[in-house]
Amino acid sequence: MLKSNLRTVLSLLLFFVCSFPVLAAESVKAPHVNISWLAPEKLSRTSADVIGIKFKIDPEWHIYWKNSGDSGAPPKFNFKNGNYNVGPAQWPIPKRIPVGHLVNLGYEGEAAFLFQIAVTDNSDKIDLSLNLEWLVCKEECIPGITEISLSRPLVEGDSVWSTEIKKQRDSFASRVPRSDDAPWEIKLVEKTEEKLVVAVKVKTGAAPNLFPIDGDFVNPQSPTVEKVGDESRYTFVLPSGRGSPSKLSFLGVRGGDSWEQDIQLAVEASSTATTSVDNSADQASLVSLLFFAVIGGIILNLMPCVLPVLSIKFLSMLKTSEGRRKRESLLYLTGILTTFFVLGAVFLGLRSAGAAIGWGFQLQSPYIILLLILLFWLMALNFLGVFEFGESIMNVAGNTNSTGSFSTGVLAVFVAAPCTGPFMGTALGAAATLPEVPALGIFLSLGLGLGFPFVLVSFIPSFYRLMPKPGAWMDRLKQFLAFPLIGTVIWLMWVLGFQLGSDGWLLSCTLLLLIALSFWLGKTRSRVVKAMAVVLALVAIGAGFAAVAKAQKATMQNVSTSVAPAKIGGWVKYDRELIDQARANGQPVFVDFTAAWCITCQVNKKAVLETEAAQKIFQSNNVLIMRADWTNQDPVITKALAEFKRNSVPVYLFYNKGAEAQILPQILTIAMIENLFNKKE
Amino acid sequence: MKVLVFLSLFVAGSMAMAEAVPGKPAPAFETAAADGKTHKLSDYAGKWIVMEWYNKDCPYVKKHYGSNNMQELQKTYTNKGVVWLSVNSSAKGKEGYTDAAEAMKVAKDAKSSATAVLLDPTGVVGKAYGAKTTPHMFVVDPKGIVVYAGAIDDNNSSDPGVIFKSKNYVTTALDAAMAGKKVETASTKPYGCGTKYAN
Repeated sequence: MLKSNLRTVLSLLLFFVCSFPVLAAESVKAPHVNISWLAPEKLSRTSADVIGIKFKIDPEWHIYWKNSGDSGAPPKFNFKNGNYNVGPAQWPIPKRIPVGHLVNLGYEGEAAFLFQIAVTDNSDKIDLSLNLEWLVCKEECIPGITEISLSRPLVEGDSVWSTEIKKQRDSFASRVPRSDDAPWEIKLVEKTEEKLVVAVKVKTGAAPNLFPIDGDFVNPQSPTVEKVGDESRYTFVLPSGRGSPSKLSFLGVRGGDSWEQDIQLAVEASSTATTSVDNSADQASLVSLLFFAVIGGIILNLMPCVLPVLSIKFLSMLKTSEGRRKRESLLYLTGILTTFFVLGAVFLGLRSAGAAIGWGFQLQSPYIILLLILLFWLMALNFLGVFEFGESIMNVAGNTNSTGSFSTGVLAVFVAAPCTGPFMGTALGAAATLPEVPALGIFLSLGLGLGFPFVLVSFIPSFYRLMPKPGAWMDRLKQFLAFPLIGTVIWLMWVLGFQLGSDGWLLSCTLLLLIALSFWLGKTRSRVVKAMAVVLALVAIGAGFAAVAKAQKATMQNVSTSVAPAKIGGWVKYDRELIDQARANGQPVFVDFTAAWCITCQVNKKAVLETEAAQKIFQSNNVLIMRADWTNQDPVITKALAEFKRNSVPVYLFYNKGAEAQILPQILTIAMIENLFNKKE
Repeated sequence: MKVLVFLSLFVAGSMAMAEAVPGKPAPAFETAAADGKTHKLSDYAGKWIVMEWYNKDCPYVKKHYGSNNMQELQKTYTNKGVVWLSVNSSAKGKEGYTDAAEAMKVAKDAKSSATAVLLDPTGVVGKAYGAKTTPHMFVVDPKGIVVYAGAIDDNNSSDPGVIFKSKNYVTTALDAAMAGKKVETASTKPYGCGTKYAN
């Protein structure tokens, strides 16, 4: 009974379906999609109207834009000929749909493709027929092919729409590319085998999202976006070996609006315009750079690594006669200038040889570090009275003979270099990009700044009279100054530790122990023992440097263990791609360019960056915090610094959401970090 | 979250680097095949090789197998001494995954003339070649250099009816390269279903 009833219902259904074939074909139900028209009830015969073919797609499934992305295929529309003309398909704004390792461009939920229909004759009816082919995918794909038709009466005047359908049609019509001018200019910056860089200059408002229209030549993945001046630069990955068309088209999307624009590729990529502007700016500001170099040099006198050395020099000068004092201060200045000149020449020589180096490069060599450790240790021992060099032997910094003054100048430059003060960073960064003569000028200005206060004090009696008179306090002060020197030794050992791993500590401490032992041995009348002491000292020094060579080789082979770990306390290792990615995702980025031998860096790190307060701020704002460690030579980091016209550390960069890089002062405070995030747009 | 971003970048980065690119050496591989043997790229040094990414359930693969187009190509070129490797990179549990026995049966039922059906459920070979779709086609010359990478032809319809009027990139590339001529179109955008790698 039930069965026969069912059969009746089925045959009735069949009857209905067969007797209204036109109605049945006006919408199609296929696996995971329902397809229907967005068309008026009566179509205008006199003016063209826009109709749509709508896909209602099951959740998690998608269909494709005209560039389908890595896989998939766009729907294909073939209208049969009739008493109408059909315009090209108008595609609503797509989105990037990640599918496994691929990126598809398409639609989820609902999408309608629009066509302009113009009736070409005077009949009172239109019978439209469309061959439709599509692909609907989740992970697996199901293709569909169907014929779908539309029959409507034609009317004079405007089409007659049902409100609901018209609303839907209008909503999709507002999402197809606009025909007016886009509110931005787009142009080619650079095209290589692997990538395409285009620049968008927005007149007002936010930068658009770009979709490549031609999938044969441009990969569908989100481009990395970078702010350069007043334009945004989009870097797309190109598939390899596809050749080069004369133009590429992009869909620029902002909010619900979109525009299609072409980029001509015949135009040669050119960055000369911006470069020349930069150069002229450099020329104009050379005078001010020289001025800041002098100021920076003066500030260097106060740096923790320089102050002890200079204090000793100063103490010894207090004891001398005026004439000698003047002569020596000039010698000291000459020492400084010579050293800056030599360093500058070496720097420029290496630069022209193509080596990626930066200021402080002398401290990137563990040999120099060990030499300085040894030197400061000897000075400290001397200040503490462990040994006295007789009058005839040069006391490196404190002695008042001419050679001593000159070498104090040399020494001051060497130890001052890592403490690049706020002014020095800019000046040296400029030096790295300037031609030879102005670059040397910068170096010499720094030297002048470092040396001339001393000369000033020596030459102007009224200044000199302000200085305290010599007395017994000087010995006490000299002994006291041994401690900052030992502090410097510890710091340098720490630097060596970064360069060579824990071996750096072991070998430098052992060397210092043996040196101290040989001095103790030397305090005897026996010539034999004295000779032994000298031999011990020389062997220890020789062995120390040999050990550095060996340890350096070992660390070269095992870089990952010796250099700071990739990630400590949320800090990730410098990675340009990561920055671009984060910025494209709207994540703020903070970059700390640092080095173990840079004291300012360490102070900022301990006092600000690695405090709980700062970490909390970074975390709550979801900042990507990145550390570029320049303790050892690293061309990648040198290049990154050069981009910001810097050639020294510290440099602190901050990229706020969608903003360009902001360079923070070289001396940080917590308040500064807070302020980065308090500025709400 | 940060770690995830980092990892995904790393994976994406390493994938982008490793790809079979025309003019560059084909990535080496060593993988099991449906015949129970292990196949290496170096096994075929000195021979022309076609690698065809394959997924028996993908409509675009069906387009070329259902119409006998793929089998004809296999037959034509293996008769000329070309090694034809169908590679199945579908992960276990994903569309198109087959074990060795089933792969043999499917190949036999389809009258495939492929030299071997490589089983790559880990996706190692597929990712090394940058195989994005099925079918994604690669042609490797006797020196091991990739001479073609991309779609099988210029019509991305799933309709088998369009095959006869499509331009077949693989035969064009093979015919030119084997005759010692330059391959005019060495790289095209592949079309089809995404390869079903493990997530």
